[in-house]
Amino acid sequence: MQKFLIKILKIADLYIDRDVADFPATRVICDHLDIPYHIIDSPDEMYRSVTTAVSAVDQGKKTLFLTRNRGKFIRQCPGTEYYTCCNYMILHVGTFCTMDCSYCILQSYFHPPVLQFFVNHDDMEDALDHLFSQKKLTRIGTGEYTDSLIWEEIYPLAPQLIDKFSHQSHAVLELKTKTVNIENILSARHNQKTIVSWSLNAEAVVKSEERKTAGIRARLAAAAKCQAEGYPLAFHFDPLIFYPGCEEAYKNIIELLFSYIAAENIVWISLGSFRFMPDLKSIVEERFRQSRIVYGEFVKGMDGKMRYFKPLRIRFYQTIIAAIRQFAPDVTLYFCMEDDEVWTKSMGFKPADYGGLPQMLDDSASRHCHIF
Amino acid sequence: MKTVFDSVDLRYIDLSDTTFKITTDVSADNLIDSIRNVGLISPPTLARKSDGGYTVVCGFRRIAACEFLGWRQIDARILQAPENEINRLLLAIADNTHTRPLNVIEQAAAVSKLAAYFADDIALSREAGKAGLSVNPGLIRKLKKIDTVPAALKEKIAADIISLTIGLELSRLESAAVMAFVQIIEELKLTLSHQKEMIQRVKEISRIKEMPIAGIIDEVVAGKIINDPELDRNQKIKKMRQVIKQMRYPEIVRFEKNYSDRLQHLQLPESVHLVPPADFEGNKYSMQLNFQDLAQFKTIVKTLDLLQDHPDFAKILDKNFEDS
Repeated sequence: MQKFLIKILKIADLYIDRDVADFPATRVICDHLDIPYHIIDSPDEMYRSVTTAVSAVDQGKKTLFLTRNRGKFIRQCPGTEYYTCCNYMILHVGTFCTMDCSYCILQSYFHPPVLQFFVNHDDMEDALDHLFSQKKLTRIGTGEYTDSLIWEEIYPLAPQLIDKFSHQSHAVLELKTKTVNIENILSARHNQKTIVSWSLNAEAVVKSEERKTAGIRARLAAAAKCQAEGYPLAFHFDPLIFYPGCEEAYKNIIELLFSYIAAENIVWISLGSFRFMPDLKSIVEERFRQSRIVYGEFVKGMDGKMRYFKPLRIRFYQTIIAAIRQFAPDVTLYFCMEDDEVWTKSMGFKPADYGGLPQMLDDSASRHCHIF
Repeated sequence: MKTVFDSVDLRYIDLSDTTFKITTDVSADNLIDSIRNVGLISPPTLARKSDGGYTVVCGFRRIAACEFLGWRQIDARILQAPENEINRLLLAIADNTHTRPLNVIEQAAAVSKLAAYFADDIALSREAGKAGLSVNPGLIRKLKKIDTVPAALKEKIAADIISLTIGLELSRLESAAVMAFVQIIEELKLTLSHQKEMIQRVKEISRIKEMPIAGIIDEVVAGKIINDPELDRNQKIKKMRQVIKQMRYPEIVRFEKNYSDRLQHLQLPESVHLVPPADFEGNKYSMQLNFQDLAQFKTIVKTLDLLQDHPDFAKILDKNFEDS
């Protein structure tokens, strides 16, 4: 079992907001990390140490700030108007990530980028209770501003959430990860209200662009373990990276996926080609000198992000979708942030034909997770 | 600052000591005529060296002109000890800024020399301002960088052939690449936006193809385009941009060519202008119709009617990737 908990959280500097110094989660984490810490009244000093470092991003990845989430624990995923959004909800448990993917938007999203773990879990539970009381079908995940399972090394948050969700029937939790940190969750009573999901990519991309992440086979082996424990699963081919030979490489991963996982256990598979705010380009060039991913045939999208030229995206999606459909003709496939033209030309239909993308995903969640 | 006037033997003035030299202008021609005709109006400022000679603080070109004219003695202001170096440097900068605007390389030299005394760019900015050099901390960072570029590039920046922005961009490249870009910029007199586009795209091609930048320029641009006697400057620029775009975005260029071919097949009259979505990302095409009277309008409507069943029009709207 130990192989399913790989240590990637290497904290050099631990800062604790004085306000939360005595919180139970703070004590658990301090005991676990067993390193000197600074109790601070204001995060300014910590931010200064990160922003003045040679690489703020690198420094931020080893600086942990235990604090209170002073905003909303539950928030809407920030979609944009032109492209079709799935109306996902974010459970905001922390920020940033210890893994190091060249394409990661979080490198330029937080100013400064720093690992924050919110320990006011009573407030989080209150927010979830309020959400559940609304009896509205909701898909919510912790893997947007951070990886869902990196924190398991220092605090068993996932089992706590899985348990919480298992006692209701309206919302489904998605734990999205590139780790294999599933040790804490395997024996949890999930009642199918938690979907464990993995980001997948071509092996060459994982090797060159996803530093400190688990290998593809390890991810799939972990997924298979979760499958054996009855968890609903999901997979995200996002970002798809175009390079010579990529079509074959992605087909191989798709074949590999279905050699580990039965299609009927998959709640959804998302597809999204690499897109980025222009600011990210210089960060990738500076931090990932060997990376070539920002030199694709990009144009500026309707949301200001750089996107692969649309006809190229469509042609590539058609190939990937055909490969997936070969193994899983009925699985719910969707695009993260594409428009009706891409949907129609790649999938053969547009979300509105099935009541809209949120409805499509809600229906799949209902079938697999028995929510209503 | 205490000074005394004295007559100094030119042999004792060390022109090779450039500690306080700011100017990039090496020519003293205009000064030679002036000094020959009316004499030395403004004496240079010197500082005594420990070996008995003199360092020039202000007036390198004036001294060079006097030497050229065969003078043996020159009237000069001699700084009195214990004047410190920072004050001498500020004096040298002020002597230049008060007579003319400094070019980028001169500003860079001044900033780099001042940086030896000020670790903090804000303090440096303040002191430089006192000497008439107006540089904010952001500009100071750029100027420090520019001061490290090869001499050949500095020459082009000083001559205003290369801008500060492009100079900074080029400063990150190997010298062969720098000179290859400089040659094209100088030869074709590219606009700033065309310079930026060329440098960025060629750099990216170099990374994608793992080829040296100078090799790409030599092979693709210099040989085939710049030396083509059949092309004028604008044609060369146009062709160069096309060739570079084709290398950087081969699939997009192929698609655009297909689009253009299909548009030709439609044989639209000049009065009908089809506008695709920007970069083919959005979904809305628009059409501009220009007409003067009903007869023209009817002709256009007939043309549009034919479009409905035209296979190339369907392929255009479908954003079809197949070669036409």
